[in-house]
Amino acid sequence: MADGFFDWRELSRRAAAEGWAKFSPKQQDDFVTAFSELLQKTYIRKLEKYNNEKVTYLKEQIEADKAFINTQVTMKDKAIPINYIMIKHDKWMVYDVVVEGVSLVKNYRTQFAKILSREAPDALIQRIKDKIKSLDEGKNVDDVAG
Amino acid sequence: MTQEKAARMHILTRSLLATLALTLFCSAAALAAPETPVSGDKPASVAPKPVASSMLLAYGDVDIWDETGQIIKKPAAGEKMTQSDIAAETPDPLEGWNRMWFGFNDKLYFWALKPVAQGYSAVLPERPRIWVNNFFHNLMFPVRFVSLVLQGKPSAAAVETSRFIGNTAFGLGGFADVTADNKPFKPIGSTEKDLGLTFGYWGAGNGLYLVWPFIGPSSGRDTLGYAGDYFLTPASYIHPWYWSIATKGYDKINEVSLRIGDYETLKEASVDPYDAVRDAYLRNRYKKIND
Repeated sequence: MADGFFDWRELSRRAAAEGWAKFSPKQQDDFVTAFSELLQKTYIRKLEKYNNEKVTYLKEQIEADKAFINTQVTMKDKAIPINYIMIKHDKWMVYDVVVEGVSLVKNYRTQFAKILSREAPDALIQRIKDKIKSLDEGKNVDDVAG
Repeated sequence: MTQEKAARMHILTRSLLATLALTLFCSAAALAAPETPVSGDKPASVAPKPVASSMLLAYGDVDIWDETGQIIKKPAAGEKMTQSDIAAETPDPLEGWNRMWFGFNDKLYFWALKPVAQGYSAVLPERPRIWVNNFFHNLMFPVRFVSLVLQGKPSAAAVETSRFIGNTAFGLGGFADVTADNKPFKPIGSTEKDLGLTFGYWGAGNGLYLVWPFIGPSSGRDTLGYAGDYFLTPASYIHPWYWSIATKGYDKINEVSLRIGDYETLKEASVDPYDAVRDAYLRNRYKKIND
């Protein structure tokens, strides 16, 4: 479901920000593959569990090929604002999710920028792959790499 | 009799200290930012923000909206747009020190808080835990009320007061949130305020990012706010001190029991959990200032 819903390339490009231009085309592809897998195995899996919660659509703004959707998810004891930012190719796709004011893309931009200022693009991609590997091995989050 | 007198003196000294700290901070803020606009009920989201020279800003973000969906002002012709980024413009000079306490809090969570909260949830179902949460939230009314008054939002402060009276009187002392569905006549914005957010509303910046043991992520500004909030928290005045700590500890365990899994997901998904938490904290606080 998440594959036709998220624009992984746009999302990755924005998260890598400055670094994106320095990646080779192959590194860009590897980065998109690894990063989207990490997100699918963590946040997306979590988002899909929100099935039973009540989602309210508050507002929708469209500017050319971009759209901003304000929604609110009513959790057990409080309402959490979740906003989606979308881009239109042949259909609308999400490239950023903002939960309680925290943008997914910008949160990773902060992390990636610091790593890329010290390490090569391949090292960053390797770090993401290591993270996925430790998740696949079912390691306790207590000692997941990082 | 003498003990009562001593207790009263104790409270008096503490309130005096609080006032002193607040006055000191206010004057410091006033000196630092003399031209900061404080008028109006409209939050400072459109107030002039300091232009940071961080590499993250150099991306020249072509975003149309900010995180809440407000349209970002377009740059005039020939003008280079620099969009402020709260995470990038807050320095972290004590990173090594902060990372140490981040590691400490991480272990504290996995080795102590989480197991205790899990055991507690096994005994007490979710519904009563939400009631306990409501009770402590209702009890924190002074923090919200004083902050709203200091932000010059009388209608929000009034709504918060009527919620407090309603929940205390008709919600079994605050265990039931009976006023949750009652909407005020006109929109008043969020009433979830504390002193750190108030200083931010006045225009104070974060200063620097800080991580405290037990408390978690904070900033220079929010640390001052937290110190002030301490004096506005009723649980701080429970006598003797270890009952006060125990009450706050119970509140914390109860809260953690309702949030198990959130921190785990963030930690699993991030490449650098320390920076992920720092970024999330700063952005979330920034949003709350403008809410």
